[in-house]
Amino acid sequence: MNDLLYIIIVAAVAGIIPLLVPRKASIVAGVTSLIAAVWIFILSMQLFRAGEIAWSVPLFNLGGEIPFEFALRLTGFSSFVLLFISLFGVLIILYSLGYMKGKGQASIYYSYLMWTLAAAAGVVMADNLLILLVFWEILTAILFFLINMGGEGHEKAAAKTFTILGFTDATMLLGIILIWTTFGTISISELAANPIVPSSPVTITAFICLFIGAIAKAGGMPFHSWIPAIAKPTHASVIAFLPASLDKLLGIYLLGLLTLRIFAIEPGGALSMMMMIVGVCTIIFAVLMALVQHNLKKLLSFHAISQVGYMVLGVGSGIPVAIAGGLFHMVNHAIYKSGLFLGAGAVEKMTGTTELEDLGGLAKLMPVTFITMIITAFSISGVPPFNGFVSKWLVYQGMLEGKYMIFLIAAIFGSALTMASFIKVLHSIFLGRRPEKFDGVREVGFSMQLPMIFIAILCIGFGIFASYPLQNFILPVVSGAGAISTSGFEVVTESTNGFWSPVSATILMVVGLVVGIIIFAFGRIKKNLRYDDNPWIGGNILENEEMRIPGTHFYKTVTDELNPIVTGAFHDGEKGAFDLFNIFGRLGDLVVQFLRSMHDGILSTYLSWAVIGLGVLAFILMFRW
Amino acid sequence: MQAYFPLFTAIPLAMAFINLLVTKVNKKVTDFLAFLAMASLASMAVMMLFESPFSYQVGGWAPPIGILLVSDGLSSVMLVIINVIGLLSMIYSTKYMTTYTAKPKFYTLFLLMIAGMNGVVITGDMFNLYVFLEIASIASYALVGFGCEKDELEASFKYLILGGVASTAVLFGIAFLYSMTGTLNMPDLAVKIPEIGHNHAMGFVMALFIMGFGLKASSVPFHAWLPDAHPSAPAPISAMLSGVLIKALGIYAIARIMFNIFGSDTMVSSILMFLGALSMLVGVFLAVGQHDFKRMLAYHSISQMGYVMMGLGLGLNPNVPPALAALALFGGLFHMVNHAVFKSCLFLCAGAFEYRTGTKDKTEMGGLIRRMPFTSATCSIASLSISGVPPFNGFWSKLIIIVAFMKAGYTVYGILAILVAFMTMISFIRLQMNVIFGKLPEKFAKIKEVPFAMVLPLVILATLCLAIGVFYPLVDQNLIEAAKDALLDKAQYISFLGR
Repeated sequence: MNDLLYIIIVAAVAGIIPLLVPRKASIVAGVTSLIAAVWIFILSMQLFRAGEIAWSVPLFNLGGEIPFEFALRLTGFSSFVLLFISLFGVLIILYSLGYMKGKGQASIYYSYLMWTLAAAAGVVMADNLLILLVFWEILTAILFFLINMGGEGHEKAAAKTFTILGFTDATMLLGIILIWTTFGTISISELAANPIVPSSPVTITAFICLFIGAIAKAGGMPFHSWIPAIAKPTHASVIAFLPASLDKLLGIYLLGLLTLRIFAIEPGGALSMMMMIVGVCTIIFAVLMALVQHNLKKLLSFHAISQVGYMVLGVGSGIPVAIAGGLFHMVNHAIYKSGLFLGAGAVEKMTGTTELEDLGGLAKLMPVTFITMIITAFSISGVPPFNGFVSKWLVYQGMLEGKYMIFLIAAIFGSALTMASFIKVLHSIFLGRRPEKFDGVREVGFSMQLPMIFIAILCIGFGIFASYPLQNFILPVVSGAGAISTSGFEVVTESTNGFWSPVSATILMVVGLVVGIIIFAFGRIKKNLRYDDNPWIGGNILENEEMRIPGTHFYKTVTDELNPIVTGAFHDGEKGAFDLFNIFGRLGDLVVQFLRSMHDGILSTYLSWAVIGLGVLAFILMFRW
Repeated sequence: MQAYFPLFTAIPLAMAFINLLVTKVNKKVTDFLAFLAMASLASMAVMMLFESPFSYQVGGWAPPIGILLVSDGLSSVMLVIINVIGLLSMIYSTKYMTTYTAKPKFYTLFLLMIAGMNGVVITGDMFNLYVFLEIASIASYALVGFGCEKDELEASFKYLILGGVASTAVLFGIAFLYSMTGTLNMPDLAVKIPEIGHNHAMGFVMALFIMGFGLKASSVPFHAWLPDAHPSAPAPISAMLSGVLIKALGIYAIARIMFNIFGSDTMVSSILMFLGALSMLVGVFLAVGQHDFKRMLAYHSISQMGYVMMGLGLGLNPNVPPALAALALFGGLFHMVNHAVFKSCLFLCAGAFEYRTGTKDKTEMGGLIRRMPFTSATCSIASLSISGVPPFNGFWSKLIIIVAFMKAGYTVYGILAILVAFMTMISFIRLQMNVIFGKLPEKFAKIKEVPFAMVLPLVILATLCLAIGVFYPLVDQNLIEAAKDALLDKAQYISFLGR
């Protein structure tokens, strides 16, 4: 059997097994899924080494009239996305073994995960836009069911998600059919051989339709609002898997496909500007929303949106360095954001809450979670030498090269706000005073620690040795686009005098850290510097609880004391006034009300419709034929 | 099989009356008798798929005087839909109808309806078609009012009046045709009508047929009876009405008459496309605002029939390339088959939820997947199917229709079809959100899954939704292809006259 189809079939069949396992033995389902996921990971590694493979059968023949191939093709770009998809599959299933223990419906949960893997593999391997769309929509449907396994309020969140993604899937369908009718083919490799120049209204519409699909999946504005909605009720592992990593990979994969292969986007042109503006707006507005969140998962979800902005900005600019940065950021984001959500899940599993106000002082009790979250938080904030920095740095360079100073400033500003937001997170969960009810909290089990540790190591590894993934994964894709020059990539390799040399910088930082630790350690030798005592005011010993400083108030000023316009916008934003979902909902209601008022239930009305209809038909057919 | 062809109407007709007589003595056998009839019909219908087209002269009388029964690709597909869905609804009824009295009478009416529909799809004679149409319609009027509650009787009455108007229009049209051509035999009409050509009377006949059969097919603006009638009927009947009846009496008749008798025509094509698009839009907007589970499904039937009508309309258009016209027709017929599967599944699910919770208001339900996993899962699958989510069957047929319209240059219709697919999806997401997922109300904490006889049809239908969707290119193509070819090949239809 063909290797490409093999992966999809292995994942799809492995998804059936958990359904056959008795309900009590969900761990068996988990372990079989884990084995299957590892198998798929190994297969995708082999495929990654194998290079470009194509396979197709003229399986579909639409209505016997229009040939339509079931075509799969693995290119360099898709094989590396596939590699990461399967990697996250392994990590998330491993994590779920612990996380899902004791939760209902665990067996079918693993089925959904495996089918997600199958569909995601299908998306990246599809060589036909319609096949891509089919797998794409299957992913949406599975996400719907996965969200529906969550807690309180899940059904509304799931409905909202499916509505938004369903809408964007519909626009994608429109875009695909427009391409089909205009160019007579929807085969990606055929289109890539002769990229479409979006100049006519039809091609621009087609591009925008597909672009909407890509950014909605990735979570870019203005189609972002499903991610915060599902953040709270959904299982942390599901968010870590889908919106945080897989949907990013796939959304940006599609964006890359559009801008690098199918369409020939002119750098600095109107479409490129549009994408960059979408990117920058996403960065800034989402991070501002993130600053004021009180719920850990919701806060992380706003960051998941904000970071998409960097990818869209980079890929949309059409400048090679920035494209490389955007694509690298896609991988990096998937890594650190899934790590952050897994950390959030660990905290939730042990404390039962993700409300930042209720948490605090867990650093000592959950050291592994704490350290991995620090690393991932630094990564997302773009602190060197972690991976987030490298990719953001490339995007900044691209902006410099293109002289988009405003975008550059906005992107850097967004990064600073991200840092600010994560200081709040780390403080609220791990530092400060610990509420007494959490005294019994322990670190999570090893099967949940392992993925987090692995992700943290990846964050460091991809940061320090950034040239390796860049050379192997990213640059072949970008230079493979042909028309774009590859100059300017040497900046990240060590061989030249780059702006940033990760290894030497890291060595310096490590030296600095070691010196700091030594000084600290010398101080500890002399005497214990820290005293613990209860605060004492006016003769009363205050309880621990009253002296807690929850991190949620760190950035209250953003909403309270800025000028009234901003404040008002924030409140409206919280209520969802800018949410396209709500706006269109209201418009639809008007039409419904009108139509319902016409159906008054009176027989003579209905009868008159029928008779008038007959009259009109008769008139047309008798006298206008 | 050819010799037994008339049994498709004879078995249900005979069993309808035998059933009444026997149950005067023994009431318990009624389930068994109805099952016997439906099972034999369904298996015969499946066997008919392997027959090549043929015609059967009733009583040995030669056409055009005698009545001709015609079996070709289209009628075999229709027979399968009618009798298989009929069998499943009947199995479902064995438990569901215990909440009503007079089960034997129910089966009698049910079998009469089946007899009427089978008759409509196999006959090759206009007047015969009218008679069977009336048998099926009158049985369905009675079945809609079967519960004898206030609402049900009102709905039944509205349906009766509007249906009666439609039947009269059809009869009137047939009379006109007879006066012009002197024949009622359909293949014969197909020969004679082109000789007469277009005139005022022929235009009026067309208008009468489009209105009459359009009303049976619940096309806007003739749809107003459906949202009352379909929800009021007992669930298995709703499934039959929405899943089968509107297709057999409405869509099938329009397709057969317009394609095989009148032949392709620009004006009729644009009228059908327009009516289809209108039904699609109006139906879906009305459905989105509904709280009543079954009423919402009924509005969706209007909307989905719009797709089928649009497909037929483009298929009739002589100005588009034949391949695209055929594609649109294929899409329409395929969607008709798919709609039969998922809509009957949805109505049966609605009935199952009502059976346990006692309500049809979907906002009162919630979280039922915890108590009724099979019903909920099948409902969810059917919902995804009707929303056009791959890999379920509705996706492919909608896709084909949309592709055909866009490629033929009817971009507005294509975009509308995409929009309606999206609206349908919203509405069914709301349905799932309200009924299947979310919080289980206290009062439903103790309910159980419905009995096996009700679960079985649901599971079969949901499996079909998935199977047709996944194996679409392998299995379904030949079936629908044959139906499409039968419609496009007018010469073959005329040739039935000679055989």
